[in-house]
Amino acid sequence: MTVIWSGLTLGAIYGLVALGYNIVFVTSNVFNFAHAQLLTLGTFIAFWATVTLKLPTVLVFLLCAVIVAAVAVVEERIAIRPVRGTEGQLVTTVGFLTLLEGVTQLIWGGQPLQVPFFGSEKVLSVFGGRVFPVELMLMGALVVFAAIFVAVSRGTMLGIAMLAVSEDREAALMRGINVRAMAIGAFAVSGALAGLLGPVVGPETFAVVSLGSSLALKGFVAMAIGGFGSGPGALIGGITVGLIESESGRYLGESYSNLMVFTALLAVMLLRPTGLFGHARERVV
Amino acid sequence: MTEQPVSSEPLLSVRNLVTGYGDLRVVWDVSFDVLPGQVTALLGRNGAGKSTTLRAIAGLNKLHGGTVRLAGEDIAGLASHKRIKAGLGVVQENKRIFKRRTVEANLMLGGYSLHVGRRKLKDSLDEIYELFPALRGRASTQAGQLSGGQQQMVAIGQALMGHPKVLMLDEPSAGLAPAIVLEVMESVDKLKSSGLAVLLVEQAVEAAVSVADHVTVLDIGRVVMDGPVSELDDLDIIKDAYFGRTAPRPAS
Repeated sequence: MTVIWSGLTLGAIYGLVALGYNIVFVTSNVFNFAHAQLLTLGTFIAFWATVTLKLPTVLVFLLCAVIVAAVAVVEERIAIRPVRGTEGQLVTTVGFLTLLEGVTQLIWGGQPLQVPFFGSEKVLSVFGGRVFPVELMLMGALVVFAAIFVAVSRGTMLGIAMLAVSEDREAALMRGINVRAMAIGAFAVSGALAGLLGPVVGPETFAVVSLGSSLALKGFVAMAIGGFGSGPGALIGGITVGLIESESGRYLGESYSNLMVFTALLAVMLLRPTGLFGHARERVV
Repeated sequence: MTEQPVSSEPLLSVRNLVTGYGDLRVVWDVSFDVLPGQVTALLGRNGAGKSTTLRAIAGLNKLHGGTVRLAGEDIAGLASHKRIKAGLGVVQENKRIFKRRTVEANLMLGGYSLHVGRRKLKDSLDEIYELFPALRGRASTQAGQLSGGQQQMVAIGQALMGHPKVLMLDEPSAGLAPAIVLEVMESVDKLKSSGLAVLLVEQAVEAAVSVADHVTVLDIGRVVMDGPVSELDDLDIIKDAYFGRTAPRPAS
């Protein structure tokens, strides 16, 4: 059971990255590869705010959310808005990821930094397996944020407008939707989410520069398995990837874990190219 | 649709409009008015510049010159979404609705610019169902599953949900069966009677003239004929203007 808890924790982190991708994807059709690096930045700011500044927990969360949201808005301004076409934007988001990685390393160095968890660090025994409170919190965060994503996108005018922008940007403009503000808002919200997760992900993974690149890839796989633009898809995709990685690592050996994850991705893509919860997209010409 | 007092002041006034795609200019010096309670039909063959003109009014294409006034207010400098908020209703060609959303979601999105909340928007859905009874009972249907005619009704309903001062329709008859075209034109006629100003971009001359009060014909990006429908003796005059078979009549 401990292996399952560990897989669910990994899956929660991947799912949260996939959810961040989805927030931007549904409003601007942009796949923001830099999102995982924004989350990594969140872990460093959590370290800085907790260890260096010794701020109270609420302020740590607030600082992480505000700074990472601001960086995400800068990304939208310099790496998305001036670039035409989603293919070009894919490249510039990778560029922003690299830039962010470099700047983070320049400020905090290449060594992993331990981010202290604000809650209890006492190991718990749940359903016969060992699990830490921070791990349960990560799983809870995935469920809560995925539920919020679904509630907003399906139950509010803002959410319906977001989906409309994703489906046909020009038609959305003709309904009076400010698509540019929507895009900036999506980057700000996904950035704030990445920042808020910094103090929770950091204690589990350490604040380390290379975290962004590995999360970017696994988050993408989670999103592709679950379906682009889907909240439940991010949740199921993340958990699937996390469980496959930990179970195959445990029973087949560490070297097989990535192989099995990508085999699962290929299988899903062959059987259901839109992902488990995705929809086929129609191109307007 | 509720009756509105009709005045003779144009609700949409386009003067010396020059537009195109990027720096390429394809429409020159186009002027016309759309009055409340009237339909102005912008006619012309394929490639004449009709849709380009409509897109420029909506802010989707760059304006190289001229003015666009909506109820007296210069909207040429406004972003597209602000023009919609100012009272422009746009039905784009090819039934540009959100096909993966339900009929109700599509209609409610039409009222997004009003910022009045879901409940109030739901209340005004009845007006649309009165105009298009075929949509009643299809609220939960995915819009992409509707027939072409019903999709066009959703597109018009969407534009009306924003309570526009001027409704612009781009080729509403395209791809529809003659009986459905008739139905769509009847609804345009009802909207006109309610006092709405309508700009109708069409290739189908007979259909457009059946509801139009004023006709402006474009060819190769310029106005080749302009005048009230009542002064037309024969539709062939318009058709000849389409194909350049008559000397262009200067705009009145």
